Amino acid sequence: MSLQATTWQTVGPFFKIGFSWLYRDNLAEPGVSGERLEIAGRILDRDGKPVPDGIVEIWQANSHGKYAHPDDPQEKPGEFRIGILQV
Amino acid sequence: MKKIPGYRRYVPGTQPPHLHPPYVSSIKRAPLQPLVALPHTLSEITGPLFERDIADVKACDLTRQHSGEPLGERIIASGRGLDENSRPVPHTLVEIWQANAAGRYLHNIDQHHAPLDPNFTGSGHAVTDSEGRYRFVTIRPGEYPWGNHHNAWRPAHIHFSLFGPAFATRLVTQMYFQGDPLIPFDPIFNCTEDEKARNRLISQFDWETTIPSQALGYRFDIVLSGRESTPMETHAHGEKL
Repeated sequence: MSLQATTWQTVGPFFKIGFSWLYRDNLAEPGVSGERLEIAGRILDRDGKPVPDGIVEIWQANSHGKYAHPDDPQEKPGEFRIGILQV
Repeated sequence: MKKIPGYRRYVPGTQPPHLHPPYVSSIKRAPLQPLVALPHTLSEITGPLFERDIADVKACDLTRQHSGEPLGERIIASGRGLDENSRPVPHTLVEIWQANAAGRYLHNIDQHHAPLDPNFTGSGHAVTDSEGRYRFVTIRPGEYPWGNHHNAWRPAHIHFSLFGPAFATRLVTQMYFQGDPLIPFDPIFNCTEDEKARNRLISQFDWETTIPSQALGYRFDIVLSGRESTPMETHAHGEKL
């Protein structure tokens, strides 16, 4: 049987109530190998006004290019933190 | 060479367009150009996985997070996370957040003239079981006014977030309640063209999960993108084509 994916709805302006427990702004804690990067930016609307209620999630591989996930078939070293960031 | 299938793209019309002028916030925030669909790579077919122990077991009962009970009608919101191939989505993080019974969010932007409830925060999370099932105990959220247009009111709703097995399966949505008179007037609910897709956001009253003398049950199943049948290709060293 085939189903259809559920419709997205806006996260709305109050998502911080739900997501705050997952916020992390440092994925490169001591012990994580690789070059440290700091990524910063702003979310703006079409008039150039700041969007104060946006949410950003990132996901990435470790410094060897390996993802912390069983579907990554690469034979590369895996040492991970949960690679998710919400600001 | 190892072949890994990507995830299916959404059926046209079943998702809200980025620009939907009746939903005023979308006007300044929607992209001007159509999006370009890129092939899924390892970055999209993988994603954060959360161990069961990340979830606080008490976080699935929003009525017991404080010293007293919150005001409002207790409800059980439960259902299953499935994919488009009808397979359960096991061990995935489900988060919810909502207004209290008076229609007020515990959030500094929400200054709507309605009382906060000292016994209700309005957020919870759970991890689905091996059959994709989740269950929350909470209170029915109140409807509330918002500034979208004259006399705008949001129907009662609970926000849901699911991760699923991959970054491509991430979903944030809202659960509504059967018979809510505000639904036909809500630009957020109505921005999706496909009526059946819209109506699947309305939870169904459910005797099976209703607890006598305690709480009404509402059922809300959530479907995440399923695997494509055509695999993507990777080199032996994992470089994406």
